[in-house]
Amino acid sequence: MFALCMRYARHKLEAEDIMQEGFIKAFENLDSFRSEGSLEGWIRTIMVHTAIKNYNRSSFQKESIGIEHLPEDTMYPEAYGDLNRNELLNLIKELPEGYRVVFNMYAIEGYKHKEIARMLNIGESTSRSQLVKARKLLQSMIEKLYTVLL
Amino acid sequence: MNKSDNPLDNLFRDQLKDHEIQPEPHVWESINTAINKNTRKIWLILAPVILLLVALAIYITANINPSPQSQGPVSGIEQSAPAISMQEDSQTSSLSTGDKQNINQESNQDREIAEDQTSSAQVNDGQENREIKSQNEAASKRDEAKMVSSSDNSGTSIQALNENEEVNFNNEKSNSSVATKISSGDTKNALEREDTFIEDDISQEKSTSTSSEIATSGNNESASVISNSGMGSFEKLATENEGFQRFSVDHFKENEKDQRNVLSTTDLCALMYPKTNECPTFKDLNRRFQLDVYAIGGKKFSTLSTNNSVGNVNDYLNKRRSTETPLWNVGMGIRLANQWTNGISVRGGIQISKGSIRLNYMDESQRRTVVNVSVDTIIDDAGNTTVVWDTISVVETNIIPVEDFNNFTQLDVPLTVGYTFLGRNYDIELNGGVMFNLLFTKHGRIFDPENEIASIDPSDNGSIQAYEKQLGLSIISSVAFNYHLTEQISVFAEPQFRYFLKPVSPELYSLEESWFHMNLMLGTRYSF
Repeated sequence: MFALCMRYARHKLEAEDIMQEGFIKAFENLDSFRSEGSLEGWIRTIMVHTAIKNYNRSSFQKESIGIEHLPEDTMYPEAYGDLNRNELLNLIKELPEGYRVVFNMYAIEGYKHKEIARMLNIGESTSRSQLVKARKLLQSMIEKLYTVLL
Repeated sequence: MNKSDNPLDNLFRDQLKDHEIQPEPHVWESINTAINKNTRKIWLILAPVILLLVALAIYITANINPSPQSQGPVSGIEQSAPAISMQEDSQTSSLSTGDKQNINQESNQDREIAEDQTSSAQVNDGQENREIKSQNEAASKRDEAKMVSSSDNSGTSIQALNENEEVNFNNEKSNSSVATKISSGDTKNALEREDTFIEDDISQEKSTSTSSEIATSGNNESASVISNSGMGSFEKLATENEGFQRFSVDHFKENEKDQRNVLSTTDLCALMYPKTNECPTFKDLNRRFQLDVYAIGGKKFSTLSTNNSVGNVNDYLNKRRSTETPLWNVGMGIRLANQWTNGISVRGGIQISKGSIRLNYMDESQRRTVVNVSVDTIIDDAGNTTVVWDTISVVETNIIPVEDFNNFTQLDVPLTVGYTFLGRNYDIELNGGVMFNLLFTKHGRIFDPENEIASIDPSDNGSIQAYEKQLGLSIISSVAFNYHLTEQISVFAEPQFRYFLKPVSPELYSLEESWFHMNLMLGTRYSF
């Protein structure tokens, strides 16, 4: 769960806060958990919601960059295999706040744009554009990293 | 759930979805601390309930066990019985029987004795003057003793009675010597007798001789009253005393032991004021009604929950939780109480109050485009200067924070039962009861399940039925601190807890909303 929090948070302290708040919520609402799904999945959902709530009240949520600055699509699939988990995690953490949340929810958690839009109080188009920007930034960062490694 | 085919997405998902990192130990410690802290919040709810139960228990106990307030004459007789047997023919024996008429008679006798002594002291020496002083003091103490004993007759403290007995013994010594002096006219003899009384324990023989001497001094009426005031006059007093009519002598004697046990365990004054000589009198105790006018204000609390764990409902629940903040509750009211002499009171009234819940959200329909232009100057190795213009356009959504207030107006009828602990100039009341809601209006907006803002006012088109038409029944409990400014007017501060027994949301609504209030009532009380 802490890795999940790290993905959504800007830094370690924020991740710890999210994790603490999420576990307290889970503890308080334990009686509402139905044994239909896994406990881990239930807690995971709570953690994601807590992270989103944290994002919503964050003053950094409007942090954004212009799409004009993003590089053209370049694929370095050979670089993907050389990246370990910590490096990938660091790449995500370098994303602007809005991009990071949308990318986490869509690419890793598997939420649809409609769900993301409702949970983040944004339009679906915004969710899509944020995802595209996040991908491009990540590709750019991977490219730089791969270049350095070479 | 979506599963992207994008290779980048797959890379991150495969690598990170099940990735785990161990947090530092202090995180678990802080979680544990926070959870334990949260469990203490339950006491906020339990405390008023316990308070209510205690009040009910006291009420029941007071009904089962006869209150000492209503049994003053009984306690006076119970406790004074030993004194009567020891001072059977003395003046003070009649004081402890609770016969007010005798008390007044004796009070007059003391004053007469003191006046007589004063007149005779005019012709005596300084030693006599000192004696006069001591005798006057004795008479004064005697009067005090009667006052205390009189308070016993109205039903107060066993402890106070015991102390009164001691005072009576002391006064008896002094007054005996006074009486002796009056009858003989010999100052030395009187002093000797007084010394004798100080040195020796009080004996029945000396008391008897004293009373006979009083009789010779012309106080025949007093002596006859005194001589009849022992156990022999018990039945007479019982039948004459108005407050004693409830208990026949036979009944009392039969249950003497039980009565003593009851009184020793239910004497509120002795419990609350163990070091007080006189039991405090409660100014309102003899009054039948109290009219309260008060203002009320406090914090509103709201809990939102759902029994349905479907994803959309949970999202909606989180949406409402994250956008709504209960604020305050203010109002005013008037109530009338019937206060009985045993401390029990019943109150009823009417109260109007207004509550508020704040709504905060980001207006999604509002968008803003921010254009940033940056100019960079690049100088190459050849010294050529190139100016590069760069334009960054950012379309921001949800940029307008909206703050709104939902207002709820209530008209309620509180009905409570209370128990009063008495003080000298103040009293403390424990109240518990119910509050009926007569009228409930609401104005404002909340998010509906479709994530759209909707009105909660039923008269508006497209409004959402998220609140009941009426709030139904609430339980209330409070502790009032009442300070007496005059015999009839007092001011009070009363912290109150109110819990709404039913959810304020209708059954068909997807979420369940419950309220409770922590209030403080400040008001004025008129007793009549």
